[in-house]
Amino acid sequence: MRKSVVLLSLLLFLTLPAFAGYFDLALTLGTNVHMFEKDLDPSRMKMAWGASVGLTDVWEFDVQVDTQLVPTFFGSSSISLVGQKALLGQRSTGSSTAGVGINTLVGAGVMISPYTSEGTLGISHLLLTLTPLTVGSPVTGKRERLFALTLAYNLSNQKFALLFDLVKYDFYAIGTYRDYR
Amino acid sequence: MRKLLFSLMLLLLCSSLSARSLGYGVGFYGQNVEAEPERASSGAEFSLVYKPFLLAFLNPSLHVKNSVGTEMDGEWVAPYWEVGMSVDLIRIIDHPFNFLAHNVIAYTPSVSVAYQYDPRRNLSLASVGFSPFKLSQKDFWYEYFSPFLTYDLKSGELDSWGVNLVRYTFFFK
Repeated sequence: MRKSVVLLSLLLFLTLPAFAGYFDLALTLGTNVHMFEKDLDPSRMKMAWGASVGLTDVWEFDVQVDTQLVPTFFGSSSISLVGQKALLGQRSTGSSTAGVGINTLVGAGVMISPYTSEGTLGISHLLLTLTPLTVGSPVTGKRERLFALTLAYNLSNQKFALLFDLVKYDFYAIGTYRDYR
Repeated sequence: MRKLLFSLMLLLLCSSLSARSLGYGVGFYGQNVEAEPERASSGAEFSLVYKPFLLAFLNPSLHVKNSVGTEMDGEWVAPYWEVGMSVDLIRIIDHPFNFLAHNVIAYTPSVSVAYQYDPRRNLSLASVGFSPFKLSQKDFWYEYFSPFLTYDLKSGELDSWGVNLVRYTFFFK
């Protein structure tokens, strides 16, 4: 299982040059709550951190680690790998002209976590995610993602859970106005 | 009572000295009760803030807070009410955290002390907090990752710890 995840990640990394021109990269920080699966994940509060990779003008790939802060400080974590599409216009123009400043994201992906009936680490959930509001863009260097709701289907017990991210900040290191001067 | 009224009058009169001194805030808190882990909770924290001055060093403010959230079993609770004071240690513009905001913003890390009441357990607590990533504008405070500890006022022992992952305060008057 781990080998296939590493291989998949490597494959995605190698394909990035194919999207040259729109490529951008951000560090993500924010909040997360995992609901309706307390028997598998007893967390009350999680910190979301990871990276957001721009693939095209409307598509992006997000890697999000959710780490438990309460009740166990830096307790268990999960990793979500999600492809997302901007619905309201170009998230980045690949030039010094900023894309659409306010957007909506919808996407799908998988979660890798120990939140399974057996407690083993692996692909545990299928994810469908909606971020109703994003403010900012890669070109401006910062973006806020607000009120993201993710429907999570647990593959081990065939039950649904919900993830809620109140706010996430994307701090862009590559693909900002500084790179298009 | 007379002293309290006098203090409030004084505070209100002083409020004209700074442009906007009254604000309200909303945050996302999580709290773990050491002796009763099942009482760990998370949810929204609401606050009222009074900031009479705008000092470069040791800028004080008063706050009242209330939290509403769910415990481990999903039950809705109001785990604490709080009255206290926080002090912005410094106010600087040239700092490494400007990337956190769209505009240039002041960095104002703060510490706080407060009286906290837990209505679930009828318990009086002393709370100490630290807001290491607090950014301030004229009308807004943005706070990230602010931890706090509470101590039982009777026994003096650590009762709970928690963190406010984000807190936004808007000054309207």
